[in-house]
This record gives sequence, C-alpha cells and structure tokens, in this order.
Amino acid sequence: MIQKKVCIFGASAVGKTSLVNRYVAGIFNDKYLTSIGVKIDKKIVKLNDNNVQLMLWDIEGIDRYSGFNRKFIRGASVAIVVVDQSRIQSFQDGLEITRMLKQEQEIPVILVINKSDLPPADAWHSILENESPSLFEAQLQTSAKQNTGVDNLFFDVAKISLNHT
Amino acid sequence: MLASLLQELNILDCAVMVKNQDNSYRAIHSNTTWFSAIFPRGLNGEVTPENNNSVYLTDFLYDANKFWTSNLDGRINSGIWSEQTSVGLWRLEASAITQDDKKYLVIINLENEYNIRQSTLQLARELLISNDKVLEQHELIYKRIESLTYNLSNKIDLHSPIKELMEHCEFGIAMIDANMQPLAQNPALFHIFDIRENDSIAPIDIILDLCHRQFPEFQRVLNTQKKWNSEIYWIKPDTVSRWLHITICPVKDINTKLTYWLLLVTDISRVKYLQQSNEKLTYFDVMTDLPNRQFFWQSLENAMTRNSSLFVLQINIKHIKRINEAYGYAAGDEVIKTVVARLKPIIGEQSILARLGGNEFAIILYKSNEEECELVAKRLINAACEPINIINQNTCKIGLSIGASHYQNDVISAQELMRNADLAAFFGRDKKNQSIHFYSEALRLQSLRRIELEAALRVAIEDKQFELFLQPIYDLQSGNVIKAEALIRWNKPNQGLILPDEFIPIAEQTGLIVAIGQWVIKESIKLLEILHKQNIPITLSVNLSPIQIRDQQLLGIITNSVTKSEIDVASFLELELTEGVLVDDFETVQVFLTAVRKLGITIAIDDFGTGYSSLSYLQKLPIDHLKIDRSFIQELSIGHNQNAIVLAILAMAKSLNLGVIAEGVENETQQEFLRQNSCQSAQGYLFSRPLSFKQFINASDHWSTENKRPFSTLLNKENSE
Repeated sequence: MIQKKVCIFGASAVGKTSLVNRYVAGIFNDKYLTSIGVKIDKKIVKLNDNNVQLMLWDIEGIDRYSGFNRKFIRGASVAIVVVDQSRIQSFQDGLEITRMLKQEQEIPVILVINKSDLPPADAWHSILENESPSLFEAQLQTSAKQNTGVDNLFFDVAKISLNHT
Repeated sequence: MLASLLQELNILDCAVMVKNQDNSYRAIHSNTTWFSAIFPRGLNGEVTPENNNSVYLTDFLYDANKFWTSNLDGRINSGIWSEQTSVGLWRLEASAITQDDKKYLVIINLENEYNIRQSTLQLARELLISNDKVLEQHELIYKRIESLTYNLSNKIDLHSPIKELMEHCEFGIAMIDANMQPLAQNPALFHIFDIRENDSIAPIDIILDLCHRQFPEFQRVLNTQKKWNSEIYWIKPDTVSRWLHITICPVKDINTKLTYWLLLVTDISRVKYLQQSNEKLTYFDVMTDLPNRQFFWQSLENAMTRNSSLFVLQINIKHIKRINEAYGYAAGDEVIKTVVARLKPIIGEQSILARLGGNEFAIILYKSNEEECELVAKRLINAACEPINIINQNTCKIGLSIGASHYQNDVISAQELMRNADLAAFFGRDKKNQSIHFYSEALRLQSLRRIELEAALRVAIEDKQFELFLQPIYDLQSGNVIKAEALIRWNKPNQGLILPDEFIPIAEQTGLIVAIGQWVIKESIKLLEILHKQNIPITLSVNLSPIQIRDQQLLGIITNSVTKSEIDVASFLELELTEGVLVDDFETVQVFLTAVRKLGITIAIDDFGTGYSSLSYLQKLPIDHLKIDRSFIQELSIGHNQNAIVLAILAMAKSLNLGVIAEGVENETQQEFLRQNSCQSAQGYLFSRPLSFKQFINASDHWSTENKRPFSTLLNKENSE
C-alpha cells in the first residue's frame, strides 16, 4: 500500500483538527480546543487502482506562540493550508505560511477555506481573488461542522499526492 | 548513572534507551504502559526503535541519528506530539542525548506539561482571535464610513446613512474634528462609559484623556495622522472598570487633508478577565518581566490597607521616543530593559516597581518622609542617567522625571494617590533637568490653572482672540528696519493681554499649537499684504514650534496662502525654528525646510547657541540666518567669555555665508560691539518693544526721516501721547 505524508498547516483556530477528526473519526466538537505539537492520524483512501494511506500530520496552529517548523515538511507529498473564511487575518497568515512552505520545499499546497457554514468576512472574496491564488495547487471549501467538502478534500489530496513523489 | 541522568532530566515517567555500538538499543528504564504499546519487544527483550509504531518518532530518529553521528555532547528534542496507542492517548517528547560518548534515546510523558501549556495557550489564542475580530470589525466600519464621507466636506450631515450606521453599531464610535472636538458619538459609546448624553463629560473626553495618559506615542500618532490601535484600561472609581480596544483612524478628503478622526471602541473586558486564570499573562509585563499596571493597583490597595507610610513614585523615562526614532523600537526596548535593571536594585525587595505602559513606570516606596524618598529618587535618577550602550557601539542618555505622592499626608484613595503622583510627574516632564516633584496643594492649583487656561485657549482659537505684535529688526549698518518678528499675544476677555510664555507651553502640550500656528501663518501673510500695499516692503519672521513642524497640514497651508496672495509673499516671509527642532527630528525638518525654501521662504535659527553642540545640520539644511540668543547679548558688556561666544558665532556664520540677527539688544554698548564685529541686524528694546500692528504702521511713517533708533524714540513719543 502506498503511504503519503500530508501536513496540515494554518493559523490558530481555523479548524485543522476538526477537519481531521471529522474525516478520520466522523466526529465534530463545536468547542475550540487548541492543539499542542503534532498529532498524526492515518486513513486509507481508495482510488481507482490504488489504496493510498494518508498520514495526516495535524500541526499546531502557527502564530506568535508557535512558529513554522521546517522539519515537519520533510518527506511530505502534499501540504494543506487551512483558513477560516470568517477571519481575514487567517487568510493573510495562510499566505505567509504558504510562502514559507514554498521556500522550504517545492510541494503542492492545497488551500482549504474552512467554516463555510459561517458568513464570510467582509471583503473576503475580493481579498481571496486578489491575493495570489496561483500559489495553490487547488482550492476547496469545507465545513467540518456540517461535514461538507471534507471527504472530497482528502480524496483530492490523495490524488494530488500520487502525482508528487 | 541512570539515577543521576533521570535526576538531571527531572523525570520519572519516561523511557531511556542506550544505543549500542552495533546500532541496537538497550532499554534501561521502560516500566511504562505506553512504552510497550509503542515498542514491541523482540524475543530476547531487545528494542528496535526503527521498528516502532510511532510515525512521529520514526521521523525524529532521522534527526537523532544525524545528531549522534556528530559525536558532540548535548541533546536535541523532538517537540511534543500526541500518540494514540491501544492503551490510550499520550503526550510525549523524545530526546536524543550524547553524554560521555554514550548515546541515549529518552522519551518522556509530558501529560502535565501538555495540559498546562494547552490551558495557557487556549486563553492566549482566544485573546488573539478576539483581537483579530475586533480589528476586523473596526476596519470594516472604518472603510464604510470613509467611503460614505469621501466626497463630503468637513460638515457631516448627521442625518445621513453615517448616522444610521453609527446608531446601530454595537461598539462605540466617535467622530472628532481635526482639533479633537467631537462631531458625533454613538449611543454604544455612551453605554460603554456608563454616562448619559447630557452629562457634563463626554466619552470622547475620557478616551482621549486615557490615551494621552497611558500611551506616550499617542500625540505623535495624532501629529502624523496615522491609524493606531491599542488597549486601554478605564476605571470609574468604586463602580466599574473596563478594558477597551481602541482604534483611531484618520479620514481624509480627496486632497489627503484630514477631514476628521474616527474613533472605534470595543469593550474587551470579558476576554481580558478570562486571562486572569493565567497570572503570568495577567499581572506581568512581557518585555521587562516587571509587574504590570493591574498588579500595581492591587499591591497599592493592599499596601494602603496596612496603613503604613508610603510614597507612590510615577516615573517617566525621557527621550525614549527619540531613541525609537533614531535607532528603532528594538533599541528603545533594550534601553528600557537596561534602565529597569538599574532601578531594581535601588528600590530593594520590599518596594514594588511596575511598568504601567510605554515609558511609564511606578514604584511603591515605603519611606516615612520626603527627605528619604528624595534620596532614593536621586539615586534612581543618577543610575538611570548613566550612558547606555545601544546598537553599533552608539551610546545614548535618557532622563527621568519623577512625581511623588505621599500616602497619609496627601490622599485617601489609591486613585487619588496615583493621580497626584501623575500630576507631579507631569509637572516635571517638560523640565530639561532630571527631577523629582512632590505633589502639593500649590502644584494642584497650578494644574487647575493650566486646565482652565487650556479650556480658555480652545475658546480663544474659535473666537479669534489672538493678535500679532511686530517687533522691528534693524540693519545695524544702515539703521533701516528690514524685518519684523511676529509675536503672538492673547487678548483674553476681562483679563487683557497674555504673553506667549504663559500659554504656548500649554498649547504645545495639548496640540492646540497646531491650530494656533496655522492662524499665525495666515495672519502673518495677511499683515504682509497690508504692509506691502502701504509701501512698507519688509520681511516678517514667524516662529514655528516643534509640534507644528510635524503638522502635515502646515506645508499645504503655507503653500496655499503664499500662492493665493496677490503679492510675492514668499520672498518676504521668514520661518524661525529653534536648534532643538532640527536635532530632534532631522529628516522631517529637512523635508519641510527644503519644500518651503523652494517657495522662496527664508529660514532662521532662533535662540542660537543655547541648544545642541552638533552643528552639522547648519550645512545640511537650507538655513539663511542665525539669531543669537539674548542671553549672550545681555552679557556682552560685562564678561569677556560671552564676547568670545558671540564672536565665534559671527565668525562661523560668516564662513557658512549665513546672516546674523542679535536678539535682546538693550543698550548702546551691545549695539556698538555688534556693529563693530559685522553683525548685520538686531532687535531689542533699545530699538523698539513689540508693537501692535496699528502702532507698527504709525511708526513706519517716520522711518524715512529717522535714521537710527527711530522706534524707541517714536515709541516713547507714542506712549507719552
């Protein structure tokens, strides 16, 4: 079976852990509980001819209390950058993280716009359009709360990871 | 060995493995349930970490092997990770250690540390997110109001959609004009401050007062018309206190002229109080590790309940702004830390030193009388004012102004005690020397007088109670009047003329100088036009204060006034600045002076010789004249030393091709000395005191017939008439 390392980055409280929990365990908790360090979960995605085991590295939110650790990206096939559409600042942070990732390693980065159940922040769409979407291999909307777009996300991740050795 | 290692690591819930020569591992301490889940043992009980069940640990072993290969004593850590095993969820951290040629792999269960860190960061991150949301809300409202008012004039129609938006907004909004007078304040803002719309005090007064008190940089923000946000703490004694997030944004018109300020206020008390479960975040200043304002308040209230004799010292570190501007904020922070390190040993264990914010500190000092307190204060000043090394081998010096208030003698409440110390510190803030001031009744009355004057000044600006007097400046060779210095006077109703010495310092402190300065420029140009129409083609010299130089509107006002004039006003306008202005903010001044010089306006340095010794700016800036300070001129007839200084200034001016004006000439000896040593021009009571414009015009009738000292003669005639 093919194993692929997938790193999940983003600012604090954008829903990285919620996405993984929803996808791996099918659960969601509305209460925000900050993650510390790294937690790795595994899940097999069935593609046409292959079973791909995704090793999902859920990495502590990057902010003033926890910086970007370049060693996490080592050996990763795909990076996911999660942003919260109700907070513009999370998108700015996501862009910064993506730039750091690209500097470290040429790797496909998927932008995940989470919390699609909430109304987007004012000017969210114009900022999203203007601010360099070309950085991303793909862009998807999800709601871990409503379980929309989550399976699709990891299915796409698995497909993209196969194209990246 | 193991015992000492574990003791050194200060852990017991851990697994320790030694790496053998053949790259296998031997577990020397592993009595843990989680260890077995992660490391399935071989038949002989050997451990093979490379075959462990943890993906994270496997990844770390890559780094660990590289580290061990280096053979250097030391340790690298994996960082904390969560490991889900068949027997539970574990919070672990691995370390690769080399010690005395032995290589260890240590894995520690950090459950407790994880929980502590999680609860700390949970609060900190909630605060961070909350702060982001507040900023985003403020930005949104700012943009909406800015777009609604973009094409409007200064007069805001409060029946417009703006008013509707303000009224329905859930956080406080105020609009303030360029003179900091309120144009509108929404109901939410009144609600935050627990006051009614017809109360004597308005929310905006409280906010501006708090901002000025708690943030030394606030005036600079206003002067430079920058967007700014911060958190302020407001207490309504005995009833309520609130943490408020403040954003202040300049709203400018199409010509980038400031139309008004928008002030946005959100109550963030709830989030702040959440922090209280984390004492370190709540009560200590991150930069200096000193107690913060909240800790200080609590300590002060506790100390007062013990009824012991104590002083509250409010300390302001001077010149930090200058250091920040010259060397950057990191250097300013280092200076503050150095000063704190010097102050702490002096006050001793029992007293409390706290950082109130910015460059403001406070001390609770247990002393019984003023003499003892003053002794400590002087030691603080001496220690703090020693030169401080900063980046690139530069040194700088700071100053301290200390205000002190005595519990038992002066006050009854902590608020009053702090207010009094603040008042005393404020009194010393403008003094050049390092100083301590004790709060007293006289000081309070003086302060009241200041407050009254400030209020009256605001009225004076609106009612145009100012008048320009002109003091003639003489060409010492020809005896002709070639210039006049415009000097402001305040015709205060029922009180008569008030001299600038009394009201200009207050105007500078309150920022009112900007409006006054603008009026002076416009009025001077108006007077120049009248003079020239009456065939009196002289130059008018106008004083500029340091704050005016930073007024971004000033250049526009001068340019507009000069270009609109029917005559070539610029060629007959001179601006006077003091040396301190040039040194304090060289780049701003350089840009400003270059621009006004392009218009044809000349520049003079006022009070020359009393300021800084560095004269390099004389060559770098477009300066035309030096005005020798009156203190040197007054001593001319007495001491040879002063003669030498004046001669040196004249020689230097000659070599730099600058004109010289002597100020404060009062007798013939001084005039003769100046004339003999080629000083071109002079002003002073020997020639004329400052005259009202009408007197000046009358006096000019006689200029063509009188040669020398016509003004003193004329003035005497006028006064006797």
